[in-house]
Amino acid sequence: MRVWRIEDEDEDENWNQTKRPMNDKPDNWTKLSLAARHAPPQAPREPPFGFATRIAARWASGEVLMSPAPWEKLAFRSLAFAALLMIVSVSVNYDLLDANWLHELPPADPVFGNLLEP
Amino acid sequence: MADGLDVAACLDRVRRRDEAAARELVGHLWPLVIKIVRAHLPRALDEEDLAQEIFMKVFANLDQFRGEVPVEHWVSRVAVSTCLDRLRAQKRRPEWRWADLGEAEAEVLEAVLHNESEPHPSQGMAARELAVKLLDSLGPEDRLVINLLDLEQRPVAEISKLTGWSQTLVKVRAFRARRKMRKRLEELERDELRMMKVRQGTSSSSSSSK
Repeated sequence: MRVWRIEDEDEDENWNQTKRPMNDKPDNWTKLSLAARHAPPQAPREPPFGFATRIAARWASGEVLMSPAPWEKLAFRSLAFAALLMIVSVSVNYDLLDANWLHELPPADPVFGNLLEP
Repeated sequence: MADGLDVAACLDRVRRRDEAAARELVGHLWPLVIKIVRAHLPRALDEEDLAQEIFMKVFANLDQFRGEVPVEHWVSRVAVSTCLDRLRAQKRRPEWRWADLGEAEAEVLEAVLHNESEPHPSQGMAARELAVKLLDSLGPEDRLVINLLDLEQRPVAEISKLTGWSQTLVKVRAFRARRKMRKRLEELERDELRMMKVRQGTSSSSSSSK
């Protein structure tokens, strides 16, 4: 059977399934999509009552959907990354931190040692 | 569009903050926007909410519209990109099984899988519903491209303009998406065979017990 390749199609031609070679048996998806095209088109109805007024009023009141700034898009990802970094650094340095809590390592300055004494 | 609106003049009035002109523009663009929304609407999303979001984006970015292309083209692009964003936000992609299909959809599938010819035109509605169900299982980009190309029969060049993807990328995505759809249909066929075997097993066991 002839293999239908992307390169076979001309750049300027419509690349839809009706351009398939005639000797090719239509596959299941082609048959289904061809049948689906027979569905009656849903007639574009009028906008729902009050829709245009609502949109115009929101726009006039300055309530418009601004595209978020780049830093806003990154904010949540940065927060998650920072939390992950904190967890990794704590787990890597856990021994050191643990030793400090248990006073196994003396504080660098004796002043802090006095403060930490119970 | 056939409502006789002078779009350029209407846009000028909208830029001068004329609310009545904004209403006229919404009415003029509604058929175009709702057609795109209906074709690409993710499940569990209200078409009116999505249309509203698209119109708000259109008004928010109206200053960026330079008039180099007809406003309908620009709005179509905004609508398609908004639908794509919504499809990307949809985390769950249902995998349909034979048992989940309605009677009419199962009949269409039966015809697609076992008949040489395509289903009867009167089964168009059921075929469309089945196709949309199967499209649900695809990723957002695959779903969008196959919907535009195979169901809406838009040319590659137009899809490229609407999505901002190169024509080669559109073709590659369509090629992969079609392969996935064929695989889904094969899976459904296997599922049907499995169900038939179970049914035959239960009927033979009940007849032998009699």
